[in-house]
Amino acid sequence: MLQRKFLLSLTLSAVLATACVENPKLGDIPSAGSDRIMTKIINSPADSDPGSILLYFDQTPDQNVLDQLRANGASKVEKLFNNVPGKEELEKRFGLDGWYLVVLDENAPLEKTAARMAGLEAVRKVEYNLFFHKASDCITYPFEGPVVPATKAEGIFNDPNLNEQWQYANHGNPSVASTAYVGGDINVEQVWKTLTCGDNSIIVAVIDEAVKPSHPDLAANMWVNAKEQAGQPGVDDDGNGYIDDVYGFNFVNMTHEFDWTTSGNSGHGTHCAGSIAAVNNNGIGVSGVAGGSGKGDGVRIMSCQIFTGDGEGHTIGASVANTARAIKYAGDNGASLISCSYGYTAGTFRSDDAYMKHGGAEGDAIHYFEACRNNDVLDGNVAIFAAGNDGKDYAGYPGALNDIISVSAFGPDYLPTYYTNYGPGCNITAPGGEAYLAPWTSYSGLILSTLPPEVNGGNDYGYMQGTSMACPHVTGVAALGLAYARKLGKHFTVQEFKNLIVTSARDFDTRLNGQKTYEGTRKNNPLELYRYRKMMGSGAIDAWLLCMQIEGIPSLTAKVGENQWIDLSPYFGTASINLTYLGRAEGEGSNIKYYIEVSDDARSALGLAEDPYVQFGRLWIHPTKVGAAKITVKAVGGGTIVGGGDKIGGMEVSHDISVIARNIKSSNGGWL
Amino acid sequence: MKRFFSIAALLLLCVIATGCPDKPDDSDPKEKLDITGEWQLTQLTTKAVQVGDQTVDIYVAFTSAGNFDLYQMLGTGRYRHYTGFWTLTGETLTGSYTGGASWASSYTVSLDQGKTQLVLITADGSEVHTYRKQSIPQDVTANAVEP
Repeated sequence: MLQRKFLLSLTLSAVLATACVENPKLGDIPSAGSDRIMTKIINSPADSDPGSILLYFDQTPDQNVLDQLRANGASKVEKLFNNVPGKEELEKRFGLDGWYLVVLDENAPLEKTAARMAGLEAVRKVEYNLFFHKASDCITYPFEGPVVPATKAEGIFNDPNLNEQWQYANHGNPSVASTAYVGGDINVEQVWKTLTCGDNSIIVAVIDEAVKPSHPDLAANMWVNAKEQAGQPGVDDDGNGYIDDVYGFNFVNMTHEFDWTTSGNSGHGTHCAGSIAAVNNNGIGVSGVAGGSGKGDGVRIMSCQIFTGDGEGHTIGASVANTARAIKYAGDNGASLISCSYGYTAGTFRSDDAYMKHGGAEGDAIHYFEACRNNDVLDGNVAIFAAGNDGKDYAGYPGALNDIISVSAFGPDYLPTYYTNYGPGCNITAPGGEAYLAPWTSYSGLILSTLPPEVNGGNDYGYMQGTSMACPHVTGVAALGLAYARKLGKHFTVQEFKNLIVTSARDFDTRLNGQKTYEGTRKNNPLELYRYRKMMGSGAIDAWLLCMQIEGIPSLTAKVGENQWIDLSPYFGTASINLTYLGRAEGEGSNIKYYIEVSDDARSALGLAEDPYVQFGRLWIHPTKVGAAKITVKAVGGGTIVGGGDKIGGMEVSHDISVIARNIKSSNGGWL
Repeated sequence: MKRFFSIAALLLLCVIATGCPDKPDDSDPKEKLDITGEWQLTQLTTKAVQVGDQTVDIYVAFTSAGNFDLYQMLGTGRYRHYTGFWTLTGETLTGSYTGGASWASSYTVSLDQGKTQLVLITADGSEVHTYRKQSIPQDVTANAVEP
């Protein structure tokens, strides 16, 4: 099978397979079934590659161990990750140096072999090489052009189909959906006009199907590995362990040659890439969130192919092994963000502990990636995942981890989509597009982006829907944020930047009343919208809010001698009214008060008559003397509980809120 | 050039010249108290002790037509641009913002002899704001946003 083909083609230097050795006695390996063995096996074999398995060793396996592995079904043993000079400490910190990929003999029974290998003293963990799934139905609808000739949108870019991309500026066009909602978008136009359109030093890796690097609306924004481009064919010119990787790498077949045409490919990766950084203002096609202004300033797309087609219309690839390798590659080769529109089916894991116990190589690779530093804004990188399309009331892992951003999807009506996962694990929502909305006479309610014409009826553009499409919109906004922060010379920690992203959210909950109805085959399946309250994340991503937060947030002014509320929306977005805050809670329902812990210094500085509290998204504070202090307000970024441990939940987000207490205060915040 | 200062620590005992206003002058006060021009806040004193620090940067321009432009940055971020109207009656300065909001207080006004320093004292005497004559930097006006 294909998995084996690519494994055989590996040229990693650390191949440890040895030639013929004498088989050790079978008695050297305990038989399957003992508890000690089973606790080493961290996941189940369902939906995994029957031809390979992953092993974790605390120490480099010696010849004896290798011999035992070979004697019990291993045809090849190799390091899962290549070592990058200068990153040894980081690789060790996240355990990447301990993972090995074992290719099994043709007839080796998977589960028995796993149990035998778990019986080896040197083996600490055994992981079945599971497959991830894309967070989209992968159905494409070619773009046939607007009925009315497009005009230059709002004087921004001359991309003729920008007007068809409601996700950037939703004008409530009833031909998109009769319920299309004005402002149900990512609020990016003003950012493009006045702040930034991108930065070509920011690299975004799309971990997905291949991005077609020659696509006319993407080519100018593709990341180019200059040493490989100028180097010798067949030679690893930059010494990164990958040969001829000019635009990224194909981790399914372990080759620099991308495959976006074989049957079973859908164009999913190219579509996601277009949402992030289709070239703006180039007079053709569509726009991308961080695609630049037409002056070469778009963020750069690195393609890390983990899915492809099998030639018979089916998707293959995206095993833990090739996905983990792709993520490490992104971190090692300059990506600041990874856009991951895939995951495990919702329900595969139901808590962070359950996932971490599984604790596989891809989890280690994600955390390794976030610890790599590839730009001068952050002290690391950020991974962004799709929440999944199972329609379940919890997100799929790994995006559901409480320290990873997971994106749910809304439609052009600024309401949840029928397919999106929602609930615990979802951190923020973004446009994912949606079919079946009345009048359902076109596909324009879905997301228009770039596609390879080879799989899209000969058209370079088309529509798709899914949290797969929502994810790259948040990635694109994050890329714009990095670009703007770099322009301003700002620096953040990764956690601070995640806080900014998750709290750059507009209110999404107040419209969640009644039913949402559909046309076509979904006509008899309305959504009960109340189910989605506080379940779609902190709110809808807002590019302008993110940039404002990056600029810095004004101090809040309070008046001495009064118990007064202060609007938290500059810090937590207009979604602040719907967030759950952390602190001692009193009361119930909508009257609940969250008391904020304050330092003794802050209490003294402001002469606080009582601890401040948050109610209805407002900070209530009662200073008794003139002063200034910072108060830390913590909230749940998505849902009502923070995830982690035995829970699946949201991300803890916090902001230091600066308060100036004065004897006078104007009603509009003016100084005089 | 932006000038920042801290409302800082444990000091700022009151200072404040609220007690004894100068003897009223029979001459037209507006001739003597010409506050038109561009000013930057350089000092804020209050009657309270303060702890902690906070960046405050304020520029204000009073025009002879009775309008004002206020650029303020409290904390971080971009300057916020407020506009409105002012009136000087004797030594009392009052005003309102465009949109109708009143100033937080009226102020008693004084100018130093060189007319390069403007002092505004709130009506209750609790805050004293000292401004110096200072052109508003172009980067402040160019990058300011509406409140």
